[in-house]
Amino acid sequence: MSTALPLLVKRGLQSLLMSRWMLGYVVVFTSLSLTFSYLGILGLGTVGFRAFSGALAAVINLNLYAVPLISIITASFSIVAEREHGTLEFQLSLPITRSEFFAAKAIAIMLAISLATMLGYGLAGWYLMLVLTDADLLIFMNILASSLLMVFSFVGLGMLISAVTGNRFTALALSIAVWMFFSLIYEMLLMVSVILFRLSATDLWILMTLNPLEASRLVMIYSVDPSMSFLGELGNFLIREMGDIFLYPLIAVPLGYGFLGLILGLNHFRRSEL
Amino acid sequence: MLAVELEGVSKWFGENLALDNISMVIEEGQSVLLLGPNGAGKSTLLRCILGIIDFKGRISVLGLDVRKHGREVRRHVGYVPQNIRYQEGFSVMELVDHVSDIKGVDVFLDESLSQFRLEDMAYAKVGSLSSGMRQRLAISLALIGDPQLLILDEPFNNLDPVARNRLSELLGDMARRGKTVVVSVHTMSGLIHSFDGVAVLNGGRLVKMMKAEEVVRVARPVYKIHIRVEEGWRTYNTENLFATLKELEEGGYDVSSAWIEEPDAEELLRTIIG
Repeated sequence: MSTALPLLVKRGLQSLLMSRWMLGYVVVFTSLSLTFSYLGILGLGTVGFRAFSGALAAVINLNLYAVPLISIITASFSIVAEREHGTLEFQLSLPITRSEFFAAKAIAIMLAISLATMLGYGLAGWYLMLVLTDADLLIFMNILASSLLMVFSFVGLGMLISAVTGNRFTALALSIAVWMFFSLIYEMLLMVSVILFRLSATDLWILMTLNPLEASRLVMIYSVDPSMSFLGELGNFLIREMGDIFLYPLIAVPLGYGFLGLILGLNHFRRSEL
Repeated sequence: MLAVELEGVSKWFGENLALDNISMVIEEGQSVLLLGPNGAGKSTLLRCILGIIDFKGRISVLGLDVRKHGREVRRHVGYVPQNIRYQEGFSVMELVDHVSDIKGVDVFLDESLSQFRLEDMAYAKVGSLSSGMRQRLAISLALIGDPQLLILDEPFNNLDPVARNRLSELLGDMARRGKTVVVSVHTMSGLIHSFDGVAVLNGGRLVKMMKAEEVVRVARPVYKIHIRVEEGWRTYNTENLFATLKELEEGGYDVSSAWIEEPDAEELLRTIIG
């Protein structure tokens, strides 16, 4: 049986790419990426390669805050806004299934944010190409891939929020709370736990991995510095004890959050009222 | 073949019983008015028939179990919801394209829109349409793909007498072409003369199934048409609303500005239920 999924994705993508919300993200993200690249290049003459690392660190930090935030908020509005505007009944009265509707929303949001993010990266990368080597660009591509992994995990969580909440205000509040938890509070709790419970390196590593944002951060750090010396003793421990294997859970955890959010969200949406 | 078959259909919203063990059949080619006061469960029943909300019991539409084959069912059904809301950013033309693409049918835009005098609004954004225009657009969209079953939920809301007349003719035409038509109304809305049967719903229960002529014989609904003439307003009393409206239009009266006074809905229901 034919599916309406491609049509719904196309329509959703068009509508998202034309939204002011997405346009604002593109402008801010691209401007900041370009600014950091520019500042990095300015520093090359005096401090050499370290300036590039500085530019990358700024881009990584920008990613770690901006990408999850836009992903979770956009996704959390997707279903609940249709419900609040009363457009859900019309959409579902067409020959589509709830699963197709839900999947189309998620795919369209992932594509729109990925495209917007790649545009920001693309312009910054093009600018940096003027002075950097192919190896540097590979690092850049790895960071981009980690960003797309974050898009997946936070869109998944946002879709879950959208399916379970009844209005956009609650969806917004919940998505900001989740974002704050993973981007700020989790790290603070981790630091407190290290001090209070004298966590071992393995425990710390496991707890860091369980945060999709932290996991992506570690992948990005590894892309820039495969020796993981940024992380001090923990970095040495990881490389010594686990080698490259330590990367697998860092990729699996964000994917897991994304899939879990999508599955739970879809399950709830299929049973919910209009 | 049966167009619609319901067996023991019940629907709860939390603690509230919206539909209470409803069983009924609608033959293919039959036109049925679903009559009941506000809150009787008419809209909920129609949503269950479409398979867009969950319910207890069994519903089959055009021989297909709506729970298992909801998408296929909706491909053959045209539906006009009571509260019509579309994504504001869509133009009328895009909306027609969207629905025809999803239904997998070709549509001639002018032909589709001219039925309800919307051909000049093809490029207008849906958000800029008046409520009457939205209602007419909803009916045009429901007719895309020449559906086997047409379901309209309070379709006369916001329609002027000319559009009401046009809709009444169209429903009569559909019935003559062997299509099945189910229309929910809280008053007679003048449709009784062109319909085969009436199903009376009250408090979520199917109170009575009657032939239309029986309802006319028992209730003898009288409509008052107040129409503007040179010297002020003139009132016509009639039992056949649309026949009289047509006569007045042919007599050169401006029917579009007429005001129609329906018979008292509660009294009418009491008379029918007995």
